[in-house]
Formats: sequence, C-alpha cells, structure tokens
Amino acid sequence: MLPRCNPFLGIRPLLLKSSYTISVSGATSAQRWFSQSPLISSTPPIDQNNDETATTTHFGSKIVPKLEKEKMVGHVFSSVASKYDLMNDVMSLGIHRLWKNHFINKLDPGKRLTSKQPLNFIDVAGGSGDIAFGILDYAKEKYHDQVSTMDIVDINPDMLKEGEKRALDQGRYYNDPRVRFMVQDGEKLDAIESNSKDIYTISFGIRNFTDIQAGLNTAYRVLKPGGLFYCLEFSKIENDLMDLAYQQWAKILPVMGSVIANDFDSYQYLVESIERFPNQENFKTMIEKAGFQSVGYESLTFGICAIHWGVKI
Amino acid sequence: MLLNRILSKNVKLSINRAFHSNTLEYAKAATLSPLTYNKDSVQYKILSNALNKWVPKKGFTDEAITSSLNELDLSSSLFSVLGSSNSPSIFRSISPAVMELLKFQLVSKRYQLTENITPYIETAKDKLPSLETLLIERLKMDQPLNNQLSSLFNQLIIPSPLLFNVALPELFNLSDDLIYFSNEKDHHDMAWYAKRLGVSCAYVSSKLYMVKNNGENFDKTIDFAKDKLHRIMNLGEYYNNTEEYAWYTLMVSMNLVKARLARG
Amino acid sequence: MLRTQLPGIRSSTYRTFSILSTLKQNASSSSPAKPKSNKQPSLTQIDQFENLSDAQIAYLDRVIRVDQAGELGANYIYQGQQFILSEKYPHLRPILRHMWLQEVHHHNTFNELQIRKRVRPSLLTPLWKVGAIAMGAGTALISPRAAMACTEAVETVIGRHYNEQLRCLTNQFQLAKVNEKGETGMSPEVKDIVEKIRQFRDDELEHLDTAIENDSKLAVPYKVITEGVKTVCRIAVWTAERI
Repeated sequence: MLPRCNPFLGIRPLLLKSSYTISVSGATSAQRWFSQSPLISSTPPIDQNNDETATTTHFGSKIVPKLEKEKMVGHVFSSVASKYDLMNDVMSLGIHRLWKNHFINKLDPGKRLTSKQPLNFIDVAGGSGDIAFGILDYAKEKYHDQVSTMDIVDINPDMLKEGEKRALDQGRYYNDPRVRFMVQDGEKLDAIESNSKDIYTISFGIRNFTDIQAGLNTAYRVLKPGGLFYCLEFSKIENDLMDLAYQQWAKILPVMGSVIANDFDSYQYLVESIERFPNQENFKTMIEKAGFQSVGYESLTFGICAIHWGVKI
Repeated sequence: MLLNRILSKNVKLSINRAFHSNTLEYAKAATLSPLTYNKDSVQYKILSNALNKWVPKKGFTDEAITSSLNELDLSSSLFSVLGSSNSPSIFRSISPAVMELLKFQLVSKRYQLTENITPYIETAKDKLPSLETLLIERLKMDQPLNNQLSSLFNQLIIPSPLLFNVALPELFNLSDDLIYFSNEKDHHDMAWYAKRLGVSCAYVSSKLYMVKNNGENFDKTIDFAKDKLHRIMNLGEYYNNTEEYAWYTLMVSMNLVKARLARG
Repeated sequence: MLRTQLPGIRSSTYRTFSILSTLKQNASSSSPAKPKSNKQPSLTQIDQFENLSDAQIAYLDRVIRVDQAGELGANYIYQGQQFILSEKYPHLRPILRHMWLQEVHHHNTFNELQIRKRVRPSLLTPLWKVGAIAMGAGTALISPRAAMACTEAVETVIGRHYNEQLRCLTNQFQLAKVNEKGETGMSPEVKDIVEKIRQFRDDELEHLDTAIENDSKLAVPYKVITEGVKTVCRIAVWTAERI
C-alpha cells in the first residue's frame, strides 16, 4: 500500500508555480466526431513525442514506459468495454451506482429557468455515458433544462461505442445535436477549445491517465473562468478496519474477474491502479497545483472513493 | 512521519478553532475559513449580493441565488460551484447552493462583526467593546432578515450534517469570537468552556426571542438579550464562588489534618 | 481564582494581547543561556511566511494544550510536596521552592499562550489539579526521597516529551518566505514557542539533576515509584493531548 501521506507535502509543491504552459489547440482537423463517423479507427489518437517514450510510468505495480501504459490501459478497457457495468458492479458491490447518483445530486447541474446562458458540460473518460446521461437527465427533470450541451470524451473508441450504443438503446442523446461523442486523449483534449466549458466531470477515469497532472492542467485549460472541475475517483480508505477488509477483497478480485469475465489481468490492473492513485490530501494538492481554487473533497463510504472539486477563477 | 501518524485521524476534528496564528507573520489567508473562498472571489460576490438584496425578499432559496446571478450576469453553472462543498441531505429539500448561502450568512457576519477590532496590538482596555455590545451588534445584523429569520432557524436546527458541521461549530466560533474580541476575561480551565456555552445560550435564546417577535420592536430583543446575558454571567459567578469556597475548605481541612499529624 | 466578569463592571484583570510581546525578549524569564537570535525584529521588518497547514496548526494546538496541562500538573505536584515536606524538612524548603517557582513561571507562560493563541484548555483540568496534588503529597508522605524519586520520574517523562516536540517543531515548521525566493525559515511565533520549550526543557532537566542529588535513587520502593509515576504521566500526556 501507499504510505500515508505526509501532511506537510502540500506546503512546498504549492509554492513552485507550476511550470506548464497552456497550449491553445486550434487543431480542429484532429476532431473526430463519433456521431458523424460511426466507424472509429482504433489507431492511437495522438502521436507521442519521442522523448516521452523514454520516460516510464506505472502500470499497476509494474513500471513501464509511458507510451506502453497507454496501450496497456487501452487494452484493458477495450477488453472490458462490453462488460463494463458488470465489472463496476463486481468491483464495488454495486455501490458505484449510489456514488454516481450522489455525485450528480451534489453537483446539482442544470441551467436554472430564469437564467440566460445554457451550460456546456464535458465528461472526460466517460465513454459509457453513465455520468453524462445522468447529468442531462437530472438537468431536464429538475430544471427543465433542454439546451445545455454535453461533450462525452474518451480515449478508448470501444468504450465510447458502448456509450453510443446505450444512447441508441435508451432512445435519448443519440444523434442529438447537444451531445457529442469524441475520441480524445483526456490529457490533451486537443479538439476542445480553451475557456469553453462550464463544468468538467470525470468519474473513475483520471486514475488511468499516464500523467495525472497533465490531465488536471488540461481540465484547467478547457474550463471557463468560474468553471468547475468535478471528479469521482477511488481513494484512500480512512477507516483501518474497512481498509483491512478491502485488502482482502482486492486479493480475490482478479480471481473473480477471471471467473466472471475471463480476464484476470485487467482486474489485476484495476486493483493495482487504485492502490497507486494518490490519497485525498495529495490529490487535492495536485488539483491546487493545476491552478484551481476553493479546492475540496468529500470521502464516500469510508473513503473507498472520493469526490474532488476545484474552481477555476 | 511522526507528526502525520499522530494527526492523521484527528486533524479534521480538532481543526475547528484550533491554534490561531499571528496573522501579521503570514501571507494573507487564502480563504475565510471555514468558507473555501475569500472576499475577492466570485462566490463571495454572488452570495453577499444574494444575502443583502434578495434574501429579504425571497428568503433562503434558489431564487435568491438565481436573481443574484442574473444581476451579476453569471451563468447558472455557478450553482454547482457554490454548492460544491455541501452535500444534499435526505432530511431537507434545499440544494447544496442554498446550504452554502446559509453557511455564508453565519460565517460572513461573524467575520464582519470583528473586522475592525484588533486585539493583537496592545489595545487599551477601554477601546475593546464589551461582550454585551458585541452580542447586540451581532443581533442587529440580522434585523434586515426579519421575515426570513424563522425559516433560517428552521433550516439550521434540523439534525443533519449542516447542523453538526456548520451551524453548531459556527455558534461556538461566534461565542469564542465574542469573548476574544471583547474586554471579557478569559480562562484556563473549565470556565473556558462554561463561558462559551453560556454566551452561546444567551445568543440562541435572544435569537429565538427575535424570531418569535418577528423582528418587531427590536428594543425588546435588546433588553431580553441584556437580561439573559447578565443572568448567565451571574450564574458563572455563583459557580466560581462555589468552586473557590470548595477549594478553600479543602485547604483548611488539609491544614487541620496536617497540624494533627505534626502534633502526633 | 477564577472570576467571571460582569459586562460593564470593570475588573482589575484584563487580558493583554500583544504581538509585541511575542517578539520582545521576555525580560523576566530566568533563562540562563538564551538561544540564538538575539536581535529584536521590529514590526516593519517581519518576513511574511506561507500559511501554516492544517496539520501544523493542529499540532501547535496540541502542543500548547498538553504543555499547559503538564505545567499545571508540575505546578501542583510541587505544591503538594511542599505542603507536606516544608515543615518537617526545612533544609529541602529552598530547593522545593526554587523548583516550584520555576514551574509557576512555566505554567503562566503557557496560560498566556493558550489565551493569546486561542487554544482550548484541556477539558480534564480539574482532574489534573487533583491528581497532581495527590501525586505530590502522596509520594512526599512516604518519604522525602520518594518525593525526589517522583520528581525524577516526572521530569524524565516531561523532558523526553519536550524533546520530541522540539524535534518535530524544528523539522516540520520550516515555512517558505513569501517575498524571497526559495528561502525558508521558522515564523517568529513558532520560533518563540520553540525557544520557550527549549528553555523549559533545560529547567526540567535541571530539576531532574536536583532530584538525583537529593538521593532520589535511594528511595525505598524506587522502581515502583518511578515506574508508576512514569506510567501515570504518559497516560496523562496522551489524554491531555486529545481531551
């Protein structure tokens, strides 16, 4: 397991003004509109810099070159795409539905009746559409908001296909001009203009980023001033007893995965990626480092997962 | 780390009204704790505008915030921003953004009350206001909310996270501030707790009185508050006298025993 | 003793809050060796530091509370000892009195800090008072040597406890300065607390030596007394930090 975070870690990183530069992408040619071209090529979406291949990152507990991780994560999600819901249910004993529900209720999204401008949502790594459709449904039911737009973005075409299939099945948000499905690398979001989104959501996705900080910086870039970054992710269990129970659960999970989905490795990866992910305080510091203000988090179910947020001022 | 091991579990509980650092030695605090933003932030502007202009008309509701947003020409995504640190609760129907408005009403007014008082620098004792003055000043701040006070009260006392995480700690913070920024004597022992509890009681009951009177005849509320405070402070006096007496008796009897022993 | 002040009625005891008093050298303090930094920073030349983190604030909160309770305890232990011993053993009187006065000074210092820094006192204050008096008087009733053994045990625990705090404060409270690049340091108020604790630690260790010089090792159930007192002290420290 990760060692508990040092509360003082947060002090110094904050001072070092993050040195990233905001790249304004005008690369509209790189835009891939899923709804316009149902056949998605499964080539890697963005070509990598050469020096990036030299650096390494974690794939679960293995250390792999960064480029490799993307491929491996891609493989995991391609292989679980069709059984994504089942996998989530197995992983969280079904609680992920409650978490997602809470996530949306807490966000309380939607254009208010007397308000003038529609909202622009972006749901990153949201291929399955859980959160995106949930937000749109919520806004419609509660605030009769039928004008706000939603971009559903995922790096994995197979996952995105799954979401589109679901939209088709439920008869909503398929071929809807308000909803765009796009294959995009969440770390770059090349096709998304800077300062264009009101609310950026990402649920159970940021963990799989090769460079989490880059993903946060990009989130900061695409949000309008006054925009909200909103993230649901597995986190550090705060209760020792629960933690112990979870450790045991994590040991059986890959076995369960191999029985249910005939896929040991993918489940093994998921377990390890959860362990690798920074705990609440450290992730909060990272969000602050990206430039967000009024940053905070709420731990759900003993901290098995947490909602993090930050405001771009 | 050592510190981390000691603190990892208790930080959240003990952080409330913990050590107050000397503000002159540090960079300006980024937020008006426990709010997660400062006075220059967009959240503060929206909420203070809503509180001053719209709440007296529309109460603590979504509408008050929407009106404020429209007036400032901001989009309704700010609702999500405002409510981000609160969670919807099954016991109440108000949105997280309105919870933030309630929190803002408590916190911002507490800060406003003591904004211009600087107890750090050697202040002549006469320059510090009395506890009574501060208490009444705080009650006066809520006068414009007359009609909304009862709904505010109802929202605050429903048992829920809002009560335990916001309303009660804020009540304690307020009484702590009232004592610290007034010329009231402070203590090192149980009296520290007793005094804060007493001031809280005086404040809440005066507020209730204000609600019952529907804000009419504010002078009556002032009289009531003064009376209540005096009574509670008298009670403290009685307690102190009793404790002093008990201690005195203990000492006398021990001396007696000692004298006996010395004599053999 | 405690006296609540009625609003409007003037009492002679007012709290004095002063940023200056943190910065000024405490003239009345009987420090034999003043640790570094003898220059007095004036208000205008204070370097501003980055804010303390929540964990740091919580730690300082805890330090002041537990030290206040500890010094209160020490104060009452010596009071209890003196109460029993000063008449029967006049030769111990000046020694006990000297140590007791130092403890009173320590206690007052932390009392002041507690109010100025707005830290809540330990909820179990009455228990500490009674317990400490009982411990001081109880051991003194056995024999003066037992009292010294008690002192030795108490001061050992307190000395170690102060050392731990000093280690943590010096290691974990290096804050970055706001205006200068990359420079770090301790903010004046933390430095002030560190200096006070360091001086008090020295005082306590001096008491430890005094106790040994006065035959604490010859106390009859030496092991029982010292170990018992040490255990009680450790439990008290653990509790006072939290409650």
